[in-house]
Amino acid sequence: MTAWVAFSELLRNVALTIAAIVGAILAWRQLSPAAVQAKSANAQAELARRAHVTELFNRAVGQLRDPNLEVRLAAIYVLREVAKDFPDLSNPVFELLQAYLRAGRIDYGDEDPPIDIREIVKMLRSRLGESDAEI
Amino acid sequence: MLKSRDRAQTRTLDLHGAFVRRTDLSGASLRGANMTKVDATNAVFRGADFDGALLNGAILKGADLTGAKNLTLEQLSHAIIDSQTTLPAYIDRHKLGLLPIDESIKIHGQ
Repeated sequence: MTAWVAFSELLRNVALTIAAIVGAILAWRQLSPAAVQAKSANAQAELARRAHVTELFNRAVGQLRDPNLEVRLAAIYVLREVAKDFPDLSNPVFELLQAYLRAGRIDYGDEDPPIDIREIVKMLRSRLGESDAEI
Repeated sequence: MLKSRDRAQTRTLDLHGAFVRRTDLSGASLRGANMTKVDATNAVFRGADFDGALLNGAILKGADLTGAKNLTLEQLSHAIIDSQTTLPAYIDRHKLGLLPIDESIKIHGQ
């Protein structure tokens, strides 16, 4: 009699284990397309974000030459944020700002530099790193 | 992969021919920077690191180089400086043909 009880318990446990495995497989098959879909949606969102940033970058490049100081300043701030949020665009921004200063069309005489030049130099300074010098 | 600070330190500045009068690059790492023919009149470079920077034809008249690191007489001899340029303490002004700053102030003040 005891052997029969033990056998029936064993049988029940095996049945439960099989049921659990089948359930897990079915759940995974249900979830898998959803996971793939979510991944694809994320990739698309990232692509859209990237396209938006590229557009911002290109527009800012054009605005750097705007005769209006506020427009130039806004472009510089946009570039600063782009460099901050997208580290892979940090170097192009750095190069672009240096090229802007090198272009040779800037001349404010002996006055203090205008705010756009001050902001550019501030950005370059922060990206160059500290010299670790003690003054 | 490089950390952001390391990445920043590998960058070198190229401002050759740029007009950056009265700007402030204090504390910046200008290692290997190309500052050839830059107009940095009255600019501030306090504590900046000039190791290997090219200063040929750089206008540093009235610039503040107090505490600048790794600046050499060789570099400065190729730059354009005047009696108002403040040099780091380890640079001998006489070797650059400049009067001590106190004397030049007296002369200019007369």
